[in-house]
Amino acid sequence: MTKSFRGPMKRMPFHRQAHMQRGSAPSPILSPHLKDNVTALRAIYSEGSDVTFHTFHIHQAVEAVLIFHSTLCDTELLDRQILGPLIAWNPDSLLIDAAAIAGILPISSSTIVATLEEASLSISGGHPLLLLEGSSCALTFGLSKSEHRNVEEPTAEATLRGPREGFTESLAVNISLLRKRLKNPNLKMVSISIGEYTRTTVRLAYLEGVIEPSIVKEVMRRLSAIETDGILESEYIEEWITDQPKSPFPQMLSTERPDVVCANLLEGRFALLIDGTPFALVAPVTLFSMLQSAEDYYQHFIMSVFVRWLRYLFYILSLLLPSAYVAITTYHQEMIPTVLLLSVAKAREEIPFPALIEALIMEIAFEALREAGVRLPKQVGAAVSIVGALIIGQAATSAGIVSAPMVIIVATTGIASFMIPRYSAGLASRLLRFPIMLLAGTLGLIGMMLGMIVIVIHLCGLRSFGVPYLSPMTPTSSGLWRDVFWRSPIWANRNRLRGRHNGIKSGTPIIARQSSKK
Amino acid sequence: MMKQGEISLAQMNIMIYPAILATSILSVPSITMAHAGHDMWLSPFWGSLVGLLTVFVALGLNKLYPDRTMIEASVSILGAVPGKLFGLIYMLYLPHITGLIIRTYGEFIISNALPQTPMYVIMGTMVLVCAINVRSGIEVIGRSAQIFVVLFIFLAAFLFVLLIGELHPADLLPIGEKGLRPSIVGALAPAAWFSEFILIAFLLPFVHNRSKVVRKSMLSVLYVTLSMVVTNVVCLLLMGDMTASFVYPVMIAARYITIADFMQHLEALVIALWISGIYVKISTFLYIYSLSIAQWLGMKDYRPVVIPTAFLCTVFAYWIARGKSDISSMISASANIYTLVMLLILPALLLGIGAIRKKIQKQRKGQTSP
Repeated sequence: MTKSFRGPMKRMPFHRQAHMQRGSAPSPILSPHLKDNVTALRAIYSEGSDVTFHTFHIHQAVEAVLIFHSTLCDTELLDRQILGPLIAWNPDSLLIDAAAIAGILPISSSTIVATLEEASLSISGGHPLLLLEGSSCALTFGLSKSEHRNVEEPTAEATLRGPREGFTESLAVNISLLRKRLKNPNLKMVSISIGEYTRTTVRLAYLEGVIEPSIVKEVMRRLSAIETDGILESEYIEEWITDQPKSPFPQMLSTERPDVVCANLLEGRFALLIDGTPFALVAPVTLFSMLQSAEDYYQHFIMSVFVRWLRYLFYILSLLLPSAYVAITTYHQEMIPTVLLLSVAKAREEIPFPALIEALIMEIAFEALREAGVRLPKQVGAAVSIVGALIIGQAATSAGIVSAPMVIIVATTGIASFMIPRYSAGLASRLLRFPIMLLAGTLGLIGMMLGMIVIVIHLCGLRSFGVPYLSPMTPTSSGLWRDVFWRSPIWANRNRLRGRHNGIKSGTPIIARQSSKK
Repeated sequence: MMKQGEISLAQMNIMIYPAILATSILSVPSITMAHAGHDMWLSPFWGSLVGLLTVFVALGLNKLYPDRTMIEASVSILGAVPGKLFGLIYMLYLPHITGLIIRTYGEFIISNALPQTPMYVIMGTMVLVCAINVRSGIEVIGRSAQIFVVLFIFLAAFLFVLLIGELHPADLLPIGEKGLRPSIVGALAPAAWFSEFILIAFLLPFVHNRSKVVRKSMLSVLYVTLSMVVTNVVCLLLMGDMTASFVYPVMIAARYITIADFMQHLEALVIALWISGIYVKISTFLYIYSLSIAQWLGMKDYRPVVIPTAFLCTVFAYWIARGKSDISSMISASANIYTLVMLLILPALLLGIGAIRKKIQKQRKGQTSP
């Protein structure tokens, strides 16, 4: 009997066990005696903590204690809205409980807690706790206050035209930025707290009726399976829940822009807002959505089509240009027109390295410069680019260490990789450039082609929350092409991501949908 | 039955298109020309009749056992021991044909692009890439085929459109100089390639939307035929009677391309794009071989056998021929009949026996029930 009972318990995931302990363990129920509760909480917040225990009497008769982190809660409001009215209160009888107090206080958010653990959680979360003599329930107030910066322009995703608001580190601010754009009760925000120590609040936002319900279920399953000590940035969550964490291609979009999140919610995706970071995660995404920018939709559609194709072209160039140069100059010189071949040959005459080595040196130097420029303070960053341009662009060429065409190639590749609007999407092409260069240096164009084939095989097998990464190209759904290979005008482009539920066929404009409902 | 992913009907036809054309585009023009002379552009039409016949056999087998590949169906039709023996023939034949395809690829690359690279590097890298593809499952094979076939068709269109200015339509005449006989004899080689449509019998169990399969398969035969005819016509109009003297006439044609006196000698680009076709072809055959051997041995998953079969096929690629002359004999005359027997006649016999047995079963039922 014991054996059969222990078996499944062992296999149960850790977090479920922890949850069960938290829910049903006998110890932490608050006692009706104020003294016991205060001693228990004093034991929890014993050394090195900044918790204030303020004892006072309601109507000079009932003893009560307010417990709070003075750094985390708004003490001014606490004095005015809670302490003042309570001291001045003249109750009808002395048998007062938590619910009665909640009724008379001029404060909108208060919660009754019954266990010691809940009580300590709310104190740590910055919510003041009120304990009463003779009551086995405590009351917490939503008076937490934390420092946060103002809403500023997002720095990593700039647009010429479009909203200038970006997310901040405060979850409440971020939620309000979303809610004020999507004024609809169907915008659901499910809350879940992750991390044994950080207790980071994560909000799963989605539009009910637009998103495929199975996706929501799947995200919640993956989120609740996370067992970790702390969540400090969205990447912590992303690595826990992506389909294939080992792939260099990002399977979730991280964005600082509330308008981008709203657009994605409207297309049937979900977003994860994480407390403490200005980056929200959006999924399911495809390779093509990683190559789109918010501005594609904020400028004239013909212009957007042009920019989009330019971006696709340069994405491929950023991956292949150095290897194409290596392959052609090493193996297929006949492809270069004679005049150009002569000038390339002249430039390469005094270079001691083969093209492959030259390309590798330059690419690695470029990546190093770029990384240095990102990490350094702004004032020093400018110096890096001057040194880089002077040394690599000028001195190295005139000293005969690298050839001028190689500098042009590397510079073009650099520009190409800057054209990718999402930083995380550009990482894959930066990284995969090197193995393809090696293949090009050993097998020429054939090697390049083999490298491309392997990348495509990888992409074909990749999924983001069940959605194939290369859709709608393959598997083909040509109805969605109008927002991938070009961008049709806004009025012709109301696509939802696989919105097949509620009898809504994907690709039909919303206007047509409403008329068919009648 | 091992169901590991599904593909759509379109994806299956897209896989079969380069599976037939990738190698035939290289050598079919010169082989047909050797027999059919001037009328070689007619030969694919006769060959397509074999294609239709093969499609008919494959669809017939699928109708008898909708969820079984030919290897599984043979056991149900012929009984355990004869069925396994029938399967054994294919266990030996499939590495043979896959090896031949890999060798064709290797020889082509060596003679046209990388003359000093060792053969095993060229064949090994390609087989490795295809093995990765096959291990990723039928869905990935289908999807990557969709992408690379676009490249492959782009290559063909690129090649033929840029050559329009160089063509001499007068070379087409005289038509039917010696009657239709030479063009029918010349159809033997295209017919062997067309018999590769038997792939349908292996792939159809994984297709999820089979309602229009007859029409779409016929269209698939039509597209392949037209592509072959266009290839032959372009070679004929460009090089005339010299076509037969080149091993890879299409590569010679690629050398004619110049764009604005600036882009010249685009053979390397043409080869790189052609690889996208041969990659689909090798992947498809490797998948079918791995799947068949796993089904024949009664395994639940084909993935463990992919690497060994890939290695075996590479070894076969070495064994089947000593040099280039052997390769060209492998893809002409007697070899074509060998291919036709394995890919058309044996499956047709299987279908015949299966159909008769079904009929007998029905008659017995009819006798016993009333």
